[in-house]
Amino acid sequence: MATATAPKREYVVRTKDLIKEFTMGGQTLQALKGIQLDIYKGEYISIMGPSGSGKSTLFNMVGGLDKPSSGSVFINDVDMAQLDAQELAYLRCRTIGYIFQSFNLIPVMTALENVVLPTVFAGTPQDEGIERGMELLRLVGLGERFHHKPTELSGGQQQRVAIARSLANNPAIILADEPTGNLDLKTGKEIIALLRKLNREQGVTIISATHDLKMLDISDRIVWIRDGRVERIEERADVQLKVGEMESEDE
Amino acid sequence: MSKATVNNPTIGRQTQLPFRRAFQIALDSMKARFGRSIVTASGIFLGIAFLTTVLTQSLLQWPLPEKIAPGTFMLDGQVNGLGEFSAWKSISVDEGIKAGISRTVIERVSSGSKTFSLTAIAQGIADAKRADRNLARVKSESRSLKKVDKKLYEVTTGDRDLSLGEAKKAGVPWGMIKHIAGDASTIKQSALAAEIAKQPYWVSLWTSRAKRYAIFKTVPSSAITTLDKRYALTLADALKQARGPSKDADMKSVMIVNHNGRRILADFTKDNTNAGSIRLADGDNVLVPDRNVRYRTYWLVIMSLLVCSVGITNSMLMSVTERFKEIGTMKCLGALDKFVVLLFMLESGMMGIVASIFGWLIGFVLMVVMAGFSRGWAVLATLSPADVFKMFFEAVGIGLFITIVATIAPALRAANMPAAIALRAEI
Ligand SMILES: Nc1ncnc2c1ncn2[C@@H]1O[C@H](COP(=O)(O)OP(=O)(O)OP(=O)(O)O)[C@@H](O)[C@H]1O
Ligand SMILES: [Mg+2]
Repeated sequence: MATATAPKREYVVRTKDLIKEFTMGGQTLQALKGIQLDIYKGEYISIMGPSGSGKSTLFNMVGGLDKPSSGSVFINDVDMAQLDAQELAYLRCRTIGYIFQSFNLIPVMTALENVVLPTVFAGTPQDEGIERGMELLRLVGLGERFHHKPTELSGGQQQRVAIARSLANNPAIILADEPTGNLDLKTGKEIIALLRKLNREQGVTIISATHDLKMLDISDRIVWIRDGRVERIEERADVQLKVGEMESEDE
Repeated sequence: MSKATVNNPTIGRQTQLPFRRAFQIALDSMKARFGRSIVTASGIFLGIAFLTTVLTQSLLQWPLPEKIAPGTFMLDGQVNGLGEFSAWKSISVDEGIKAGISRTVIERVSSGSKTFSLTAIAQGIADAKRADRNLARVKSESRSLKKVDKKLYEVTTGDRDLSLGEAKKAGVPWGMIKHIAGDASTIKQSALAAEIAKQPYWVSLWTSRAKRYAIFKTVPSSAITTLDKRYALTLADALKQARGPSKDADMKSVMIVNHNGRRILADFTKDNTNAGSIRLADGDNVLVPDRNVRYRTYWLVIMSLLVCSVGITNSMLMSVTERFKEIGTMKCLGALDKFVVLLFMLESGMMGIVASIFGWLIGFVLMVVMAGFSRGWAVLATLSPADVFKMFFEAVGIGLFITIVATIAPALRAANMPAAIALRAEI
């Protein structure tokens, strides 16, 4: 795995002067005020920041779910703004996997169907897609529950399904927006461990927004965002010293 | 699991999902939302069932086309009256029965003799059909005329002054009112009563004309010629008014029935079947078929379909709105906008077809059973399979069309929404 001391590292995501404005009722709100961020391949990045600081907004820009007001996002050196709808869909389908705080599974589909859906969009033959889906469900420890609908699964189990789904097409990047936000402490830990495992074993770049301090332990770098700006970026080594401090601060 | 996982190129073009897969997804999603699908479908179902009852009724409507053996004559009383039967050929009773003319009609026109003319049979069939209908019409017309008479009586008894509007509302023709009132703004009730006494038929004609019928209730023919020219309404005018503008000038179905509505004394001259050549006998009623029935039917159908489409649009809007999040998720997973539109189109299309077919079936059976009970099961024989078939495709086609049209806007809206916005949507 890449370490901080590796001589040459590829970028997988880069943002340049990323600005996003929302206009509501004549008022303009700048949710992102020029974000400059470079993320290396195979990194585990945590994005931290108070509520409303613009984490989700940044995710939407990086994930190609919304367009920035100005500035650009590069994925593997490809400028997203240059992509047309079909290329963008291709990118979302294969290059990026999404995990949401509220799981966002398709309620009418079973766990397996949810996991297989991205492979359907990718045009994978059905048998292959199902095989892949089962493999992923086993990976997240839900091999037995494949025929259950989301409503029949616990929050933690749903999030595992969502993680399995995000991996369906072997994405280079996983964008996780508060993946543990709706889970209890223990389940949250399991999910974090799972993400870490995927990052270590499969080299997936993980970008995760979170309020969860447990995330700090395992992140390679932590990006602090405040009020639409990158406040500071810390290497894990620096942070670990402070975790104790912050946890007490948090009480 | 292999370690080299990041093997996708970053740029490529997402291809449209094969139709079969899209169909499968749409079908599954409908099954999973069975309750909602049923509610949406029942809107379409009811609309099409109603449409079908109206269409079926128009197929069953008088005059019932009766057919003689193929290749001979088609008797259609409505369009051409006697006009088409220029052949004065005599045929035997047996021949007539063999040709498919009902025995009752033959007996009626042949009155005991062994042969009868085609013209007579045409008239006989038309008579049989019209008589019942005309009787009903005359009855309902005289009922409403009685009401008008009562109103006229009330407004003309006493000796106060009437406003012009009051007189008009009671059914007095405007020409007559102006004639009596001159420049004044009121009319003496007694003056009006006196004028009406001189022109009873004129008023009666006027009031019924408002209903688009020209009716002379037991009008002596002398009355017709003495209708007051000053009020600018002659029989010809009345018929013209009732028939509508020249567009319908070739309508030949002006009928004359006597006061009991049973016998038709239509005296069409041989070379001219126009209404203008009707000779009235004492005690005749003149009935002009209500051409507005047609428009009323259109109106009913259009309104019901409008209501139906508003209902479906509402349903589809709801079903799309409550799935914004799902749509956003699908777009994250690589769904193209086109796929989202296709998904909703397929769902609504399937619902539209199934609901329309059932709607048609129920509407048709209902109407046929009702007609069978009220007019006798013989009416069923007048339904040609080709017409029923055509009507089936019309009804299902309209049902499908409405559903698709109602779905387009919500589906496009959902598809074009940025994924981020769709994901934020909370219901
Ligand atoms: N679609 C939108 N329309 C208007 N304003 C928006 C929209 N999305 C985000 N915002 C605003 O942008 C700012 C940043 O929001 P964002 O959701 O990115 O915060 P966040 O860091 O993810 O917060 P949290 O930790 O609570 O999830 C907020 O002030 C929010 O109100
Ligand atoms: Mg957020």
